[in-house]
Amino acid sequence: MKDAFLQVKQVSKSFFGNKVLSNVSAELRPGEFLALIGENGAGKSTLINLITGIYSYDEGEIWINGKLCKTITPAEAQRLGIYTVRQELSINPVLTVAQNVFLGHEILNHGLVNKKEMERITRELLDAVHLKHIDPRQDAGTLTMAEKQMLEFCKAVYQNPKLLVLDEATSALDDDQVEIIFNKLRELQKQGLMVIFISHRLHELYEICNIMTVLKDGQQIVTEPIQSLDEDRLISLMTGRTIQDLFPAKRESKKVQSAPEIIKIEDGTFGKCKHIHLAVKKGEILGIGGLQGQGQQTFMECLFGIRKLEQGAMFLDGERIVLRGPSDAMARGIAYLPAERKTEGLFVSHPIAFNLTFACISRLCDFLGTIRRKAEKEEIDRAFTSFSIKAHSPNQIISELSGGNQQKVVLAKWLARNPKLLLLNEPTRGIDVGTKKEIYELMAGLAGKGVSIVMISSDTMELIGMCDRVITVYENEINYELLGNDLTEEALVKASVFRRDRNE
Amino acid sequence: MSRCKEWLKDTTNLAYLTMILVWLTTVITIKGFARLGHNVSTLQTAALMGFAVLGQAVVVISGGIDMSVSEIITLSSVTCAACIKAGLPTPVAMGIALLACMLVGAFNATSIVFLKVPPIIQTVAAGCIIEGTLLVLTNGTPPAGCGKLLSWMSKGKPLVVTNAFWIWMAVYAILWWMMNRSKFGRYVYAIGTNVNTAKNSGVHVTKMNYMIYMLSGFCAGISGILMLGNIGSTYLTIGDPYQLYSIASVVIGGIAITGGKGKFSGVIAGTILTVLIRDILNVMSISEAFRNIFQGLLVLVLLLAYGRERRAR
Repeated sequence: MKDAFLQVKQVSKSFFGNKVLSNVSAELRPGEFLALIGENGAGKSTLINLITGIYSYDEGEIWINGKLCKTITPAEAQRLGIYTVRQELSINPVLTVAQNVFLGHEILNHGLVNKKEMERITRELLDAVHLKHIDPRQDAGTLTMAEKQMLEFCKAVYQNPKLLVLDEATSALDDDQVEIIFNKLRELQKQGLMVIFISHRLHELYEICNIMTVLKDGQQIVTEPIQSLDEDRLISLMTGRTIQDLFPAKRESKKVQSAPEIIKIEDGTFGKCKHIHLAVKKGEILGIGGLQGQGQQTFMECLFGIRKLEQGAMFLDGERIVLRGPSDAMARGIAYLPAERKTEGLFVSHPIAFNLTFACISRLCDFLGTIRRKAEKEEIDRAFTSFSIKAHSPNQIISELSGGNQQKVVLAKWLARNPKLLLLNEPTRGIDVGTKKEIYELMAGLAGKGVSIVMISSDTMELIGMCDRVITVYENEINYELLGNDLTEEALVKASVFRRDRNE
Repeated sequence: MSRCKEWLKDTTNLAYLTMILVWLTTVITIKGFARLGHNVSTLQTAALMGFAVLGQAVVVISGGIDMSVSEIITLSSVTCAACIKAGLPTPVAMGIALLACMLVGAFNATSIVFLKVPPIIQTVAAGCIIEGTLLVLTNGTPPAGCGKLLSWMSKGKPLVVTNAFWIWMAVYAILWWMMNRSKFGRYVYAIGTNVNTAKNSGVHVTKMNYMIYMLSGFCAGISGILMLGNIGSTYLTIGDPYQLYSIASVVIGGIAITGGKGKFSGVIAGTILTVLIRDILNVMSISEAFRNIFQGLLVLVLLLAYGRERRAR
């Protein structure tokens, strides 16, 4: 057996007296892929930050390449061959694609930057991950989220890492793109690459990893070869639940589809999308699927008034309307949860309370425009109990909460307005299973009460598990519509990848 | 102990604490500073520029900056003087002056919102335009006009300190209510923190910008009018020193120059502290030039200090 490259021995870490990691051990030998699993706040990111030198550890030992590393800095970790690809992207939007890949590692030619060589290598890297349409010279800001994430991956691979840490690095990718990355990883595995992989999409972990470590509340629950842990047992280890009850029971398709239409776009043109027909029924959960960046988000922006409907007509409850902007859409009972929680959904430097009541603040004001503090407090208390937000107090700064709890706050902020149409853009991205389940139940409850929901998701299982009907978008056009028994994983993947034959 | 530390971490508390300490030091060490008369005049100076600081604070919290404050002050005092000289009753003259100032604010907002000109550029440009226009219209010597009423409103002392100070407190109270207890304040902080989220959450950013910059114009306008009342006449550079002072006061008061952070209540401490520092430098018979250098350095140091705290998070 080969020697272990990485040995983590009984490591512990505390923040302000809170033990977030206690006595965790791990070992990685060349060619091994380790899946790190746990709910948000279980300590996965902390463990990775210890290995990559972002934090220092309190107790225990970390050995890398046969050497005891008491303190590691991020630079040292990279020198030892440990590279990280994170969910939060570090791509600089104003630099070109090639400049991003070589940022800090520029190829020099007599002291000058060798642009040609860098662009040539970038071309090769992009080709290897099937991004042939991207020019190394174009600004990285023009890439979609998914392409940026792929680029991050290219950047890390170029450094010839010994150990690659993927922290939710596939969260913005669709199944095909994930497969491309996985193929590349398998190739490198033969040369001895090691991977530590964190993902909330369990099936991805099963596909590529060979060992699995489950963390819960900073404790190591189990470390086993992946074959010996089936999905049901895994989820119950993480949360004490089983997968069967992740999604709430579905309603009868006919009944949902016979409800009246709440919103309808007729022959609409907005942005790159042309001649779109779209209707959402009362109490329906409509999913928008498809490959990444095919124009799904444009649909939502149009429905929320961020993007103007250039041609065609929009009807709300049968009445023709023109949305003049988000505030107009809100006044008509539409709510929108953006995909980028931190930059578009939250005021991260403000308290939970500020965020919670922000969208419904008008309702809490008296005739002078003064916020009635008692009413606001009641509203906050109600949100805290009905969404079971885990925080010390409503005055806590929201950036201190876990991703799942932050998302609950955004949802609560919108539901305080009692919307009749709820637009959700990637509502569960980067959120732990426990919170996912809570959000799913909430959605089902709302739909049952007659609220219509439109949801964009890159998680196939989520679309199938939650939606009454799914449309897939391909190059800014509605490609397929799936409902009832036709809504299966296979059909959905097909509907996302292949363009429908127009003569069919 | 930790609670004390926590209390000191709040930049607003720090501003008030420093204000009191500096004041006590001057009272003890500098002759004449303990006299009531001197303190009344300090508060009068603070009040006169304090209006402009109130408006500037709202702009800064919203993530912008108003570099036209000094010219707006001049504009308002000159307009008011001209109207009074033309025989209009004082309240009407004041109304016209304030209206002119709000128009400048609306002009600023229009460029910033629709032409996407950065606030700092737009407001500097607006300042230049006002300055030039006033020079052309008045030929360099503004008309002298100031009634008894205006003088009384500014420096009359029926209640220990001057009326200007009481008016300042009243305007402050209204703005404090707007910033802390009303929807308006929430929206200002929201825009200063994250415009995207604010827009997505239904804030009418265009409308808010108009309100914010017009409010700033209005506040600076009151400063100009009461400065006219204070000295009985006006000149074309009356507002000049207050550009830097208004920003310095906001920063010293603990409001983050990057927007969205800091308590509005800090402005009072910030303004008074700025005036105290100026007075001290004055007494030490330091020339105007060096006073400016010192003031500039102080703002720089404070910005660095607050910036550091932000990064430490």
